[in-house]
Amino acid sequence: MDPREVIKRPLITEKATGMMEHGKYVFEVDRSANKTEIKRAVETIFDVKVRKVNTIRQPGKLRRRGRAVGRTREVKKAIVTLAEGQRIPIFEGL
Amino acid sequence: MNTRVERLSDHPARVVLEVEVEPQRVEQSVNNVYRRLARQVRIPGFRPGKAPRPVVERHVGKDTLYQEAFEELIPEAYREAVRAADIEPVAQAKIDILEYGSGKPLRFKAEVDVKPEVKLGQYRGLKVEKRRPRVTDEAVDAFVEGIRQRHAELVEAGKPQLEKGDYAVIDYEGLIDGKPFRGGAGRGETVEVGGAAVLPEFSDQLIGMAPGDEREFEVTFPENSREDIAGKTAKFRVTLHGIKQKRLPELDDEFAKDAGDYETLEELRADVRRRLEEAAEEDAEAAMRQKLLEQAVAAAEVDVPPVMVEQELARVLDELAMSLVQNGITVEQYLKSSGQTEEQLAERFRDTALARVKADLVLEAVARAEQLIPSEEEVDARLVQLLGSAPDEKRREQFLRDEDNRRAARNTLMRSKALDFLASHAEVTEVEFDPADEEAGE
Repeated sequence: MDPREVIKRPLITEKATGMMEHGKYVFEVDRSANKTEIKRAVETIFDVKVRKVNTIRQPGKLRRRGRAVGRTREVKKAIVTLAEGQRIPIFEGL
Repeated sequence: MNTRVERLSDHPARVVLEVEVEPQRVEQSVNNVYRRLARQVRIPGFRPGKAPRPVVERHVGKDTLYQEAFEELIPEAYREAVRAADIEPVAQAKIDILEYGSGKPLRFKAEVDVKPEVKLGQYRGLKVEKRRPRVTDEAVDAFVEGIRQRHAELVEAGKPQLEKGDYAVIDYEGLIDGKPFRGGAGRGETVEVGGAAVLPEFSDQLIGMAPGDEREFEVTFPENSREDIAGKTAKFRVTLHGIKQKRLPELDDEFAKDAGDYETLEELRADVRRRLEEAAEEDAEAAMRQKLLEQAVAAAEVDVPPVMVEQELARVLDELAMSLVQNGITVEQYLKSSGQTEEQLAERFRDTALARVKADLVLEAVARAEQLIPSEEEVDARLVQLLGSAPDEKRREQFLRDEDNRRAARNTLMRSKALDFLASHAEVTEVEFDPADEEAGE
């Protein structure tokens, strides 16, 4: 899989901003990507060394509109921990 | 902070300030704005006020932060620059931002009209005539006669018939369309027949009445009367009770004692003469100072910036409006009755305004040239006087400390000192003239 397809976008929230201090960066990733692919993708795109990857799947939530039942989209998030002392600068500027 | 002052050669009364504010100060100011703004914008993923600066910058745009910061920073820096450059702006500055950015200083240009330089001509030893009208015996007589009129008494005339100039004591009742109206009836009132307070149509009908007579007649009120009676006809029934006449007091020592704190008529006349002479002296002094000022202004070279004239013109028109209102006329009514537009009126006073600005500038220049600088105590005293009966202590303190107020008071004092200087250093020729000759001459 192409690294650019694995990593969809960075997630920047108050929580994610705080985690950057500890070398952890949060991304939304492709649903079917596994940790190895994510690790490789981050290493290629940002030119850093990744120590570990944790992933969370957030299943789409039920949303109904009258009788019609739908789901919000499923999101897979990855928390990428970089090797000691490494950073993704452009990220912090976002 | 750095300020460069540049005077424009084609605009003698215009100054360009180039101000440079240090990057640190700009940064601090922007940071303050960020902290304030961060609480107000909602950014998804962050509680209000918690988003880091780069995030906020991206959200609202970096320029927004700068613009907001400049709202305060530029006026503040401008004021400091004005103080540093020691100029006196007379209008709003036109400000152009030249350069700014992160890590860079803020540079801006402020173009502003200032009080122009005055090239004084001759102002010492000006030659002037102080023309004072002689107080004649006739003038004294006329004044005394006025006092006499005010001390007149009304006494029974003992005449059989009422004539013009007499005072009638009457009961009267007037009806319009069979109904009484406001002010249409009275009992035992004294009216002057043919006097200004009574309608001539009414007065004329009374002439020839004898005490005890009763008359009925109709009076049509003129169109310019009170609204509820204008143009209407009233039926009056009048009873005459008595005829009185004005009796003037004899011109003797007795009269002098009544008229005031005098023993004899001669004393009264002497005091009247003294008062008239004082008034004539005051008028002459004021007229002389005006002439001196005109000479000094004519000799000086001043290039008055148009803004100053416009500002003064606004003040002149304000004063005019105020004096009109005091006489019970609005500006609109005045314009209508004199058949001019607001623009024409302004045009008429533009020269007055220019002359006043020039005179003020020249006087201030004289004061500076002669070191007639008022002391801080004098400024205080002047401000206290302006404040009148002081409100509370805090506002008083604030008023006294305000730098703009102090400068205005200082300038006023300098002008009056300068005018005194012109008067005390002038070659004055005192001329006493006969008011009768003057009138013939004019």
